[in-house]
Amino acid sequence: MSIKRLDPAPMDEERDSPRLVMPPTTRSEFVLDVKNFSVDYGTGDQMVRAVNDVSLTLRRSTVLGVAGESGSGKSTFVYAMTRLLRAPGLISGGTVNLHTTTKGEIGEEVLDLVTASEKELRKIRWSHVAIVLQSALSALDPVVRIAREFDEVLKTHRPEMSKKQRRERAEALLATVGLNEDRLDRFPHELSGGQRQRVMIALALALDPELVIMDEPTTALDVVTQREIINELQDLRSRFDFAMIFITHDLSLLVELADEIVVMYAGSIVERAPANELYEAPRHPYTLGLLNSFPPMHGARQELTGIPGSPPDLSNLPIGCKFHPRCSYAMARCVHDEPPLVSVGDTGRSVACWLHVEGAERPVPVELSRRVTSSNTSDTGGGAS
Amino acid sequence: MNALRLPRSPKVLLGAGILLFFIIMTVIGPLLAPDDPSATSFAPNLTPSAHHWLGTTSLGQDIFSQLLVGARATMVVALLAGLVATVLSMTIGITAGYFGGVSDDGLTLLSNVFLALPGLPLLIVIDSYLPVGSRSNAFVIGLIISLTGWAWGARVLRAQTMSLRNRDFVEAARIIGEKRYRIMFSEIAPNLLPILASSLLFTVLYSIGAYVTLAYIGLTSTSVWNWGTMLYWAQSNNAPLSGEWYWFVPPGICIALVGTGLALLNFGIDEFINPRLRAAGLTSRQRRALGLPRRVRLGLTPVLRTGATKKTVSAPSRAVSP
Amino acid sequence: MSETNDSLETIVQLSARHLTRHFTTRVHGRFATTKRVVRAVDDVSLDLSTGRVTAVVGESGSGKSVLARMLARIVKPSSGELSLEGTPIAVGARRTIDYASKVQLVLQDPFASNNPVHRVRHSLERPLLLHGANKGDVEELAKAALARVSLEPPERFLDRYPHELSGGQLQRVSIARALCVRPSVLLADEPISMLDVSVRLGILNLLRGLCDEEHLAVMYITHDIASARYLADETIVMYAGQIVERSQGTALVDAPTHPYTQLLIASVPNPSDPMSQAREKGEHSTFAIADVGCRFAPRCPYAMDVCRTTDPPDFQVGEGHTSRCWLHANEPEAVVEVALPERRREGETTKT
Repeated sequence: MSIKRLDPAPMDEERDSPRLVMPPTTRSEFVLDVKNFSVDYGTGDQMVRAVNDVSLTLRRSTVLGVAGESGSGKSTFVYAMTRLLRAPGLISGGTVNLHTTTKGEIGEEVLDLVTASEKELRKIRWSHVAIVLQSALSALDPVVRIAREFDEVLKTHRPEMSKKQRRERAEALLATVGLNEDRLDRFPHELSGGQRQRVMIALALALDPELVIMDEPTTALDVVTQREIINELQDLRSRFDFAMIFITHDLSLLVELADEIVVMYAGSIVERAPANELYEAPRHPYTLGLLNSFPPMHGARQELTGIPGSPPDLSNLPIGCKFHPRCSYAMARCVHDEPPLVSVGDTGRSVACWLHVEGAERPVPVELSRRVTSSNTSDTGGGAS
Repeated sequence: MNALRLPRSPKVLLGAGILLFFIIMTVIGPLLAPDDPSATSFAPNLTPSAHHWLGTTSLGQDIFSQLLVGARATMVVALLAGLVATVLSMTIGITAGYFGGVSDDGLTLLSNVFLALPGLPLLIVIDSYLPVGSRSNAFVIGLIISLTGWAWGARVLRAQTMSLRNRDFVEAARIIGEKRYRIMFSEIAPNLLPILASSLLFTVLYSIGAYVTLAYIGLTSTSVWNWGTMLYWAQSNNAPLSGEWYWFVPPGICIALVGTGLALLNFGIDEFINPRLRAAGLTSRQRRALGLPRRVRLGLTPVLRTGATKKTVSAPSRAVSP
Repeated sequence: MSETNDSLETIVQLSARHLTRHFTTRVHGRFATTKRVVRAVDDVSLDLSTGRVTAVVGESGSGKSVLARMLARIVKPSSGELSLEGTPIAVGARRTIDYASKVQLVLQDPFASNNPVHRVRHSLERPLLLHGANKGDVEELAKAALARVSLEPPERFLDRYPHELSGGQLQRVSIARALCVRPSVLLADEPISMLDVSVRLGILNLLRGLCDEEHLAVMYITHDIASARYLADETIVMYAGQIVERSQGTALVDAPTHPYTQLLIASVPNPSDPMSQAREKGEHSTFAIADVGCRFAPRCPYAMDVCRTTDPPDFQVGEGHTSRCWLHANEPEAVVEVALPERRREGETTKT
């Protein structure tokens, strides 16, 4: 498969009216379009489905948050999507269309990452899609100075740059993430965890990508450092205008950072909503449970319960809704049938829960239409005081 | 112990099979021997025949009987020396690694001395001080060999123990008040099992070599039959020069086969310790069945393509000309 | 600095005075190796009382884990005093099995702190046997311990290997292991930081329950100030080995007086109030610690001259609330232009 030139093409037939003929300068509003994407580990009777039929789209210059716990498939999803997942991981279906643009050109190119060749992938990695991993220490070569990391990236993808230009670019990049240029001549072990993560972010931005994927980039860091990095990211995004996929288990962090949030459970998307709406009015019981699992910083102390049970074991998933054994709203139907992801409301939200499907056995509980936060309740005299 | 679930590769099975064969030979070999290996009751220098499968020596002894009887002494000394050396290296290695500090320095120095000293000359020196009577004693010989063979294993185990020493489960054992020797041998040692097993195989291999060498150069009692003494007699009677291959080739092949078996088993353990050596997840047969490339390349997740999922979206609709 | 005992039932179980631990590290320079002293824990005093949760909040490198290990006596203090149930303990003495059965420590990572080659049974029966249980009883006692941490039915868990359990279940096993010897003090070193979000509250509620129902003295060490607020009867914030602020209850979180505590709180993701975030610029992420003066001064937005020369003592800023910051001195050198919430200028407590 070669990259398709699609200058005058309407990209998303479902959204755009098919009769409408787009002018040749049009780019689609999406940078990424994932459809029915599935990932397995192993084959045969040892097969475990880690990502199950995930579809999502990412608009240009927006932040998509992917939240989930261990076993939710959130990391597997992005690794597989970028074809970085190692065997025994196996993509078993779906498409991942990346819409790339080139500076100074109108229109865009569309590449299906699932069918892309190694050469095509090499071309888009880093220059169009950059990835920042959780552990910056293991991502940076311990025996190589920071400057060389930048040098090698720029040399490979921007062969026209001179040595001096590369050095200047590296210094400028470090400055954008708030690091002094003298860090360029340091080894990774001479930097603190936060500084290393900043270096990783600067490296990711080196080629001005359109999409940056961050896999728990702040999980290993202290809160204060995490705050600095998050602020830095927001700053960088407003300056460089890239789209971002941010993966984390910390939903409260996502609410702050992301435009739109996808909540994953046991390999499937259970809810998708704009960040504020998800926080104020979660629709899925799991999302509600997750949000209630963070003790509040304000208001009276009251006992919170979290979510009973354990995160799912992918090799031994329940039938029906994967969440039903832990769900306090579970109905008879949830035990047998898996709920589809259906859209609710008109703000592009969707949820996979039978409660929100027409003709549910019980009405939607009030807390699943508007969340009761600690700040607007009185102290119920719970055990936490 | 589920920690020793070895991968069932053909290598491991072959290695285990070879070893099993020789262990059976150790147990029942002397019973099966058709003749007394020392009896000079046959015609000398017979070539292999139905009566004497491997011919006779220049003194008229049955070589096949020698080979069967000799298996026991060779294997017993090798296994004994291997076991003793492994116990020694475990005790010294884990102690040094766990305690650290002065005791580590002392024990490391000791093992370095034994590593630096050439094993064979040391063996020869010790052996030559033994009273002649004890040279025929498999126990004594085994102990001496183990004395020169523990140091390498001790070093490996020390290094591994040092990395385990600071693990949380060791700290947890200290918190509940576990005694030090229990922490070392009940908490740490089971985690070293694959390395211990590998070390045992390695030292057994070394011991066979050492024992055969000692016997070959005539430093053990030449009246005790083992594969080394067979080679010794073959050599001293110019068997290689006079073309009597049936005298020295069979013991040589036996030694080589035992060594191969041990090495194959060791490969299996290596794959177990180091998952990177294992074919990553999918066997080559599975790959072929799925139509995936045979080799996995880093940064290229394989894609399963069945008939149902075609490359639908990868060929998006072409532009509609205005 | 004695605690205000707000109820007669609270008895001080474990008390530490001026606990200090210095490590000497070698710094390899180009020509010579120099020694540098790291003050991991410096002059920390605290009391752990029955039925109370004392939360210790700090970032990595604040010395909170070393403090816990000194209290468990698996790390020897450089100086300071410890007393258990009023009996002083010689600092250099060896840890006895008696001490181990009174004071137990739960570690951070449940996957690392359970030996992969042993079944759950082993982790529970070994401490029981060590602490004098009869061989015949251990199985029943082990089951009781599992039931106490809500791992039901216990038989299902006894013969599992650690890799067969989830993180939350395994952390419960770790707590059961600590509890089965019937300690009076439970030290928990970041017990939830490695766990999935949805099971964290379960562990916190378990600790709270042990404290309320079984009158354990609990020390809860965390970097997550929100969880400290949820759980604590007394909150302590540590920076670079020192206690910088402490208060009864959650006063410290609701009205922080030390600039470091304020920074910590402002850094917590807080979706309900996203505009209130502290926006620091520049290269602050180095864990800068001053050798002289206030250790936080290099990062402190309010640092004054006195901060760079003299280490501040503890100042009383409220009922049972002290702050180690010159801003709260009787006569601050500069007029504080910052609005520090609930700043009270009361008498200075004795500096130790």
